[in-house]
Amino acid sequence: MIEISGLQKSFGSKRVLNGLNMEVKPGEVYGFLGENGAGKSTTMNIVTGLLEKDGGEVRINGKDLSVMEEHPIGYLPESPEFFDYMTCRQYFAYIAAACSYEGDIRKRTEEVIRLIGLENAIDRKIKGFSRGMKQRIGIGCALYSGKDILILDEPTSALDPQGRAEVMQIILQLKEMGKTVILSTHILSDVERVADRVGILHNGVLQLEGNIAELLRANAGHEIMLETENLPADLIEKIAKSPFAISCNLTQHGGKVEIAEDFEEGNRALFRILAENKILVSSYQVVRPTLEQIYLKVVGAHAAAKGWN
Amino acid sequence: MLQLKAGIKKEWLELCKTGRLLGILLIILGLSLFDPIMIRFLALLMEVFQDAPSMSSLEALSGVFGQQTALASYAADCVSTGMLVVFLLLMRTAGGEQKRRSVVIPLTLGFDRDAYLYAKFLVYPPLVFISVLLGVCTAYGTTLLLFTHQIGFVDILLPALALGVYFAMQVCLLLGCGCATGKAGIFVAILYLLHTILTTALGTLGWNRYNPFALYTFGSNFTSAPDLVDYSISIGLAVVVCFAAVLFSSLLFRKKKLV
Ligand SMILES: Nc1ncnc2c1ncn2[C@@H]1O[C@H](COP(=O)(O)OP(=O)(O)O)[C@@H](O)[C@H]1O
Ligand SMILES: [Mg+2]
Repeated sequence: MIEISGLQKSFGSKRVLNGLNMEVKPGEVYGFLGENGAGKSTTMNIVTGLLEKDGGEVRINGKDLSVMEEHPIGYLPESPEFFDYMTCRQYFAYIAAACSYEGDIRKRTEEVIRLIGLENAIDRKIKGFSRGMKQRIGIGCALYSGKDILILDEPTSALDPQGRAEVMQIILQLKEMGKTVILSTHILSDVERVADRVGILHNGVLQLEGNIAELLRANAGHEIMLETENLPADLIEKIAKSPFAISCNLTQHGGKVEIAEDFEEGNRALFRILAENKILVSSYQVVRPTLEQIYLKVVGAHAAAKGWN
Repeated sequence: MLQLKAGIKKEWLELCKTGRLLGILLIILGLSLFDPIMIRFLALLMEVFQDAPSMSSLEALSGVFGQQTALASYAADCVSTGMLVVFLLLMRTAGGEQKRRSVVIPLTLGFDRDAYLYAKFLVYPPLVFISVLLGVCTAYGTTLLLFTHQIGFVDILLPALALGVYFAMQVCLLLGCGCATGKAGIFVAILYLLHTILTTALGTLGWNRYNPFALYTFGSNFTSAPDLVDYSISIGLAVVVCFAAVLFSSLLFRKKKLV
């Protein structure tokens, strides 16, 4: 749906994008991650045609962006501003004109406002709206004309937990409607909740891209939490020295063991040792790695590498 | 066309809902009441301080502080104080929206940049033009109540037109420069200073002929009938300047980066 290859962009001597490759598939929610200043907004501004690229290629539905006449993307820019003296309804009427909307504008406006959950504020001035409400208006603008691809730049960054939850709810709804959504953020828990795939932008390129579940499986060690009865010290040492254990933090009554790459094999090996020594396991839990761990691993590794140079 | 309509509606909403319309009318019409009263008050003061007013000095006074002084004083205040206030009120629409980035969403969604720009030119210069005409008429009405009648209503029409066109031209220039660069504040300062300098400099140099920036001189002359050829050419050139501002800003604005 969106394919970016070798994208380059510099501001003066500062190189922001350095051969970015990225692929967004139809109907997915794509979490575009990266720390502040990584170049997320720059990428999105290029994809939506607001910025010129220095090099590389952006293809949308197989067509080169630079030869497109009509843009197939609805865009919510970072920290959006509105004509805040207008009411919600008046603003959407203006937006309808902007997208040259051809249907019944009144009906469409009400539909969009229902979708973003602002029915109660439809005739209120935007000026008094909370940030969360403004972000929702922004999303409403992006989807007004019914475009299939939506790019949302940090829609939750400045919001309180409730505002974030509301925006996330709308994004889930968009996903159900079959829209393709690109969501940039540095709030990882938000992405974990709604995204199918993620890409992590760092140093001008995507360091990692893929399905969240697969990335979690492949990239971080799993931990097993145990509660046991009388785990002898020599056995703890034996587990700690086994090849499957990356780290071992056990005491007499249990604790944590981090399992290496092949989780299933490691898991089995651990329990074989416990069973052979007739240790009674009273509780057992697999702690899944979080996206945050992966993110820190990717970004942290590079930061560390930079430090040595 | 639809977008032009939406654009005009937007500018009207902005004018009405933010109190800018009220501000513009208040300053232009307010001055038209204030100036004649002020001049009348000065005349009264002078009469009081003159201990034994002889017939001749009273006559001289009514010449200095008469109806035409009051009207000329309105014309001067209208294009100095009035213009500055109007400029400040229009800063948001002339580029301020770009600075606040509230134009980004509509323009990226496909609002035609020309339609966005033309809507402004279709709303503000005519509004200012009409307000100034009204202002001169109210000023004239006020002078009729306060002074001995010296000037006929017909005689104020040409100066009023010149003043209105001059003001509208300045607003066009502000809209054009502000929107093309996204920096309204700087151009408020530049245009205002230019106005102040030009009105005096052109007068001293005698370069007033055909000069649209000297239209103000026609606009403040209520004593003698203007040279109609000079007058018409100046007005014509001012209109040309307006259209040039529209065209030029449209060309620049089309290429303008929004982020
Ligand atoms: N118009 C610009 N001119 C100069 N530098 C810019 C411009 N836009 C962005 N940058 C720089 O590019 C880098 C990436 O910015 P941005 O894309 O906004 O990052 P992100 O959205 O990931 O936080 C930043 O270091 C920023 O300072
Ligand atoms: Mg950003």
